[in-house]
Amino acid sequence: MIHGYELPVVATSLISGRSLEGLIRTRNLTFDELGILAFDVTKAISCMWERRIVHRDLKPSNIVMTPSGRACVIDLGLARHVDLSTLTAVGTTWGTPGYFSPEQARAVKQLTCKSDLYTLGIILVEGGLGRHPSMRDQHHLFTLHLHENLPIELADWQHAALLKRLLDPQPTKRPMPSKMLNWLAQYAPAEQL
Amino acid sequence: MTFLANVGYRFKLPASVDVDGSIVLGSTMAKPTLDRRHKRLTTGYPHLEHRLFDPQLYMAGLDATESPTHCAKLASYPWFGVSGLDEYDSGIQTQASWQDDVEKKIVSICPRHPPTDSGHIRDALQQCIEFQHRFGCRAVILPSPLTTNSGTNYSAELFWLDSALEYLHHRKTENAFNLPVFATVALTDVCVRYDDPNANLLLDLILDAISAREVYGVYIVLEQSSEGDGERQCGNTRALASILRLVHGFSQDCGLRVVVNFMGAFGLVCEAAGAESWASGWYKSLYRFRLADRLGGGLAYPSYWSYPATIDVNLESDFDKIVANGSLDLIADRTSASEGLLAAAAGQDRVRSVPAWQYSANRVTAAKEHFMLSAVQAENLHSQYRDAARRDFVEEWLKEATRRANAVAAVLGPGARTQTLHVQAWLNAFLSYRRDHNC
Repeated sequence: MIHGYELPVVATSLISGRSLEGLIRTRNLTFDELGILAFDVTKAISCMWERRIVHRDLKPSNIVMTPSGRACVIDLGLARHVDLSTLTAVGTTWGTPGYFSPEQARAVKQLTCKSDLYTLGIILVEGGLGRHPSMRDQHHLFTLHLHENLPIELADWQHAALLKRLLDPQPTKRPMPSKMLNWLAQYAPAEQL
Repeated sequence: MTFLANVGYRFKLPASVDVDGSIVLGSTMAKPTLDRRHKRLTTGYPHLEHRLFDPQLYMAGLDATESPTHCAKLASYPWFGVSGLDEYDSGIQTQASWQDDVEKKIVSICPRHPPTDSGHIRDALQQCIEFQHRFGCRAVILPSPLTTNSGTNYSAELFWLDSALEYLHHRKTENAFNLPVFATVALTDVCVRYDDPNANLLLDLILDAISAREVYGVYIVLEQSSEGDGERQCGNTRALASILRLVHGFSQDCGLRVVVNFMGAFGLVCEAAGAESWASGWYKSLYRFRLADRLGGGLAYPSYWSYPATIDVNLESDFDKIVANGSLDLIADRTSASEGLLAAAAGQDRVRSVPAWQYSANRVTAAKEHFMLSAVQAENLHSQYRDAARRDFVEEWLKEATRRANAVAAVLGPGARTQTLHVQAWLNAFLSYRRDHNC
C-alpha cells in the first residue's frame, strides 16, 4: 500500500557483485572475460528481444559482474517495448552518450535488438582497452570506424571478427543474438552446457 | 532463382509455358471459389504444384466504387474484416449469384482499411495462416497493411507481423508446422520517390525491423500510385533503386529469401540484387499494383512485349510503324507465340494480317502467352550467371535495351503510345545500386 493505493510490485533477484564500470577502472578484461561478458549480455539482449524489448541504455555501470565472474544486465529504466516506441518524441533519443548505436543517435523509430548489440560491441572494446574508445564522445566514436579499425589490443581475440560485425554502422549487418550465442557457446555457464 | 506466374481467375496457363511455380492472388478469386477449386488442384495445373497465396491485405484501400468485383472478392477473405457479408451457402445460391449479391452491397460495407483492433488482427492472422496451410502452399506469406506514409513509425505493420509470429510460435509448439514464412513489405511509391534510397530512414527502419524478427523471407510489393493510368512499367529511378536497396539489404546483408512481385521484368534486375524469385502476369491487374487502377470489367488490348528493348510495343499503330521503318530487329523477341507475328512483319505485312495478334478487345491470348514465354526464356538466360557475372550481364542487357528503346522512340516520334522512358530509369537505378553497394 502506498498512500492508500494497492500497487503491483516487481520483485527482482538480489545480485551481489560489482559493476563492470568499477572493474574496468582497475584493469582491462582478459579475452576469456570478454567472451563471458559477450555471451551473458547477448543472452540478456536475446531474452529481452523475444519480448520485443530494447534496453537502450546498456553501459558498464548497468552490468554487474558476479563473484563467479558472470555478467548480469540491470536497470531497464529506459527499456522500451516496441509498441511504446511512439512515445519517443520525433528527433529525440534516450540513453547515454558514448553508447548510442548509429540508429539510436539518429533517433530512428523502432529500434531493435541490433541497437543493443552495437552498444555491447562498444562495451567489449572498452573492456578490452580498459577505457572507452572515444572517452564517451559520441561524435568521435563514429569517426573511429571501429568496424574497420579495431584497436590493436583486440586484434588477436579469437572473436575479433564477430566484434567488428557488432560494430557495423548498419544494423542489418550485425548478427542476430541467436547466432551470436551459437558462436560464443564455449562461454555458456556450466549449467547450460 | 525462379520466375513465378501470377495467376488470375483462370488458373490454366498455355501448355507451352513452363514456370517454376505460381502465386494465387486473393483479389482475383473469392474464397468460396478458391475453396471449391482447391479440390481439383492436383490435376491440370502443374504450375500450381509449387504455389503460394498472396493474401493481399495491402489492397484493403482499393476503391469499391471503381473496382467492385475485386473488392468483393477480397472481402470474402476473413482477414479483411468486412462485416455485413452473407456467408456463401451452396444449398441456396450459386457462386455467381452470391458474388453478384456481394458486389451490389460492397460499396456500403467496404471499410477501405484493414482491421485495426488487436483482437481482430490476431483472429485475421490465424485464419490467413491456416488458410494458406490448408491450401497447400509451399510457404506462408504473412499479410501486411500498405505503408503509405514515409514518416510512419511502422508500428501497425510490425503489430501484424509480431502477432503472426506469436501465433506461429504457438502453432509450431503444438504440432509440426514448419512452412517457411515470408513477411510482406508493401510500400506505396510516394514513400520512396522523393528521397535518396540511401538516406531514406523508412528503408533503414524496415530493413532493421523485419530482419531482426528472424523470418525466412520477405515478399516485396510496390504500389505504383504515381505512375500514369495507361502505363505498365514503373519508371521512377529512386523508387526502383529503393526496391533494389531493400532486396540487397534483406538478401545479401541478412541472408533472407526475397520474392518481388508486380514489378514486371524489373524482377530480373531485382534478382541481380539478390532476390530469389520474381512474379508477374500479363493482365495489368497481375502485372502491376496500383490502387487507383480500375480493376476488372474493362477491355484488354494486346501489346507486344520485347525483352531486348524492355518495352511493351503498342499494336494498334506503333508496331507497324517500327516495321515499316525497317527496325523490327530493335524489338524482335522470338517465342513460339510470336513466330507468326514476326514472320508477317519480316514480309512487311501489318499486324492486322495476323489474326492472333490483331489489335482488338480481349484478343490477348497470343500476347499473354508470348509474355510468359519471354519471361521464362529471360529467367533461364539470366540463371546461367551468378553474382558479379550476373550483375554485369544485367547491366549490359539494360544498356542495350536503353539504346533500343531510344531508337524506337526516335522512330515513333511524338504521340507514340509505346512507353519507352522507363528503360533509362531501370538502367539508372541499377547503375546507382551497383555504385552505392560497390558491387
